[in-house]
Amino acid sequence: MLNSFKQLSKTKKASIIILVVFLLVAIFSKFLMPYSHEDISHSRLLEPSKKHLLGTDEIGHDIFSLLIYGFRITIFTAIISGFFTTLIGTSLAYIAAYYGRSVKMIISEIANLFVVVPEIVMIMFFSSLARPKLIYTIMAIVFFSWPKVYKIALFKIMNYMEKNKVKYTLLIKGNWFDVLKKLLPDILPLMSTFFVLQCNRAVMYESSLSFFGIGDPLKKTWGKLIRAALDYEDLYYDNTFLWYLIPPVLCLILFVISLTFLSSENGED
Amino acid sequence: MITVENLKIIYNKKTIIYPNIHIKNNEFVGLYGKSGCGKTSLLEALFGLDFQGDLEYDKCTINDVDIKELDSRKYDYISYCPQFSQNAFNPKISVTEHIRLTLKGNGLKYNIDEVTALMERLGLNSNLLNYFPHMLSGGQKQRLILLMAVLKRPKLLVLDEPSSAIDLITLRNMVEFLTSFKGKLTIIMVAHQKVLLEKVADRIIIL
Amino acid sequence: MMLKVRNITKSYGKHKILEDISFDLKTGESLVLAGRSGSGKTTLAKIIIGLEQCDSGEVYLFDKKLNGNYRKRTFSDLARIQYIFQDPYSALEPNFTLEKTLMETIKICKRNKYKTMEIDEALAMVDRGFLEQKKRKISTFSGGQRQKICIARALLTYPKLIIADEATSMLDFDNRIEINSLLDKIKREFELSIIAIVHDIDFHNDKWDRIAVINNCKIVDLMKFKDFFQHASSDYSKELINSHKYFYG
Repeated sequence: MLNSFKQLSKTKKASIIILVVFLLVAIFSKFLMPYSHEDISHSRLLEPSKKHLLGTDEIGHDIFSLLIYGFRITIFTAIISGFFTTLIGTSLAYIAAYYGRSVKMIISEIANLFVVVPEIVMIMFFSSLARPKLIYTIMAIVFFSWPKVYKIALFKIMNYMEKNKVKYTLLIKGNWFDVLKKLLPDILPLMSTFFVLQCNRAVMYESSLSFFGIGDPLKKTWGKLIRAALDYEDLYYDNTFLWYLIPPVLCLILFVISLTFLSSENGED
Repeated sequence: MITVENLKIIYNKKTIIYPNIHIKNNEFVGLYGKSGCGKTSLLEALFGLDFQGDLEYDKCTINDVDIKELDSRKYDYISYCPQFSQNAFNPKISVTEHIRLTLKGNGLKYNIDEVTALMERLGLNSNLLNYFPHMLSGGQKQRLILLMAVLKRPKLLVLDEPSSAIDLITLRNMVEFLTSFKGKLTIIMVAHQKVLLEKVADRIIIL
Repeated sequence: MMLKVRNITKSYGKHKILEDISFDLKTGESLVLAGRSGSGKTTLAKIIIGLEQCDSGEVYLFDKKLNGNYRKRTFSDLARIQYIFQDPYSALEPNFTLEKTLMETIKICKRNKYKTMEIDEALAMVDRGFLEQKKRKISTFSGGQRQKICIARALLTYPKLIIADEATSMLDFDNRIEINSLLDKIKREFELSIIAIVHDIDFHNDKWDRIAVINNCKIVDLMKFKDFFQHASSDYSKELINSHKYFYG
């Protein structure tokens, strides 16, 4: 595996390293946060110091702890959303491709309904209607993202099923599991590509929702942190924005760009 | 034209040692060998783009230029048709377009008489010019590849298994076509049918 | 009569491929289909196996009419006709071991309560050397070896008919001879019939029983293989014989 890592382009290597670091921060966030993210006992609006690396906000949170907590929640949301979107989209695509005819038609028609409407609008609409809990945000994202994965996966899987090795299995009446065993080496790379793409989109959706104030206020993602910063009226006095607004923005941008580079084709090299 | 001395190719964890090869100008040389003996690797290393293997040699030149110094400008005078070239057609454009683009890429003019004359020699009906690739049979595609390779007036024509999927009648057609070019340009042909090479080549190198 | 093909006609849109194709095939008989590339030989083979449907016509296996769509055929009908693909690289899963490849067929047959050959017997039939290599991945085998594995796999269901669609086109000369003699050997050992689609027929050395030549959508010659040189009547056949003489003398 180390060999294949070495063969990747510089941008992809950098992206993977960044994402691994982010993931480690998310996993070990409890140990990296100097204070609890809910602790509001500190003096308000302190500038960055040794005690508070990014200062404190107008309520009394330690911003650095908020940021670290943001790693955990944002990345967690992205991964869960991306995983389920990919799983549902690809599974439905396989079912449609294998059973064909009416099954394929029904699922494809349902997917087509979703294609017309821009997901972000639907996600915002449903999220604002539902109770503000993170799980509902994730469900909304997954519910409106799987059709895009489904359409592409269906096309690809139908192509894979034309391969001779699959035809052989079908000719001796192999069932869906027999065929799946043969397709797995082709489907798994496909799914990993979708996963990275969907994580990317999930993060962007969630951040957009947070920007509009929709979503679970207790689960403070970077998007929420940015919203909170922008809501603070004196953000641009005394350069408060430098340690309040810029850090979560940077983290978000870095995360999204790394995911984007990872899922892009090897064009640049 | 081509000199290969003490060449070793290391590719995919396999090392293949080649016999010394000297090909003179305007010779027609056949390359014959079992599958896996390195025929395609040799052609890819000499004539292909971005060969991924490692080369070790005392001397390896095309037209007295070391192959490490050659870049895509070598295609100004080389026509290289890899195996299964007949799958390389662009399904969206017609045969005429393919020919036009080939000529344009080589700075040559499209001369309809020359094209139809070559097609006749290959036993191809000139109405195929308006066809799209999916309407052509394997034999027709293979002959069109040969036509385009020859049309750009190369000094060196390299064919890797041009005969793999065609019937005897088409094969004979191709052989007679190639024979008509003997002595006018250097031709290297890889095939696994000895009878074919014996019919058409000046000499055969066995790998 | 093992196989009866009656009046098969097939067009792709306006383009006619096959017209009124009919022939019989006895048990234990081998038939080679000749014709230009694109002449419909593969289409005919796919119609017999049910991968494609003809516009009109029927196929009978031991006097039972077969459904045009393979999905609607019984397990027994499917098991009795086996198909060898042209490309051995795409016909097998490269990540499976040799054993797993053959076990796939055995497991599915067991599920359908169908009697199969032992793996070792099938492998020994094609190449004794394979018996010690069951744990090797398919990706480590050469094209010729993979094609032999496909034949071993086809034998597992004790088929009555094997259709070899250009089984040797992607192999080199020595492998070609080996595969063709292997097909002849299993034909005699198991008394099964073979339909072989071959584009480069060696009229001196090949051992087929009969030959059918397809040209311009129809069967233009159908006769014993050894009579072909003397008695072939169609223009295409004569041209084929001339080209053969040109190369092989």
